[in-house]
Amino acid sequence: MTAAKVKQDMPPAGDYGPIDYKRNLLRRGLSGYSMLALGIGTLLYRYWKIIKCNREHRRLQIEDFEARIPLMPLFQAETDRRILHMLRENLEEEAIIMKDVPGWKVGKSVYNTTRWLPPLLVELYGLRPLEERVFANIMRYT
Amino acid sequence: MPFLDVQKRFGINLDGWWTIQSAEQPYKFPARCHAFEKEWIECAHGIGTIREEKECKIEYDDFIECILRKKTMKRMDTIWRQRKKLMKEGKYTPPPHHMGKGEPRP
Repeated sequence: MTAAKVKQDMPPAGDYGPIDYKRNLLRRGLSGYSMLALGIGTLLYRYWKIIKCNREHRRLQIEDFEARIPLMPLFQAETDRRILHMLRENLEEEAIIMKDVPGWKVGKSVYNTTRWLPPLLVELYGLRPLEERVFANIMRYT
Repeated sequence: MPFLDVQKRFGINLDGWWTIQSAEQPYKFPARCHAFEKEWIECAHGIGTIREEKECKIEYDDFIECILRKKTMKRMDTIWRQRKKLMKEGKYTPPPHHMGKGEPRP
């Protein structure tokens, strides 16, 4: 069949340029071993630095504790005084409130034993407004 | 096993720390009702349930009260109801430190 003059998609005049298909790795930069050495060296340096910083942190923490520990008896004594004061106030209020109720023993312990039990929040703040009790609940854990 | 204490024989403690509240705890933190439970167990150990219910009632009641606090809450509830009744009738006003206006003390 003769090639008729049909408009076909032909390569441009003078053919295409050369195509590079060969391997073309760059010949610059660090080699593999030295990159590995650099990474491991950075790791080791940073580990050493972390150890030093942790020790310094521990020294500062010991200093903070040394300030807190001698003051703990004072704080404990204040807290105890405050709790006893609040229990005493509650006892007096209970005596006033329940004086017309027959058969009520003011301050009667519900237990059969006489050991000291740390009072519940509701025993301390039962007669006070609610937000005081909520605040005390938060402050217990700080 | 009932008559063969396997854990004591091998010196291991796999579950002794979670069976009761009064068991050995790390950092020695006591439970809230440690003392009551200890008393109850010491009273009730070795005798059977029938004898224990008769003889250890006091310790058991205290232990349950420590855990559940039923009697405490009932008592507080009675006080609150009486207080509300008196306040509605106008016979009782709470002192300032019970209304949130107390003096701050350390």
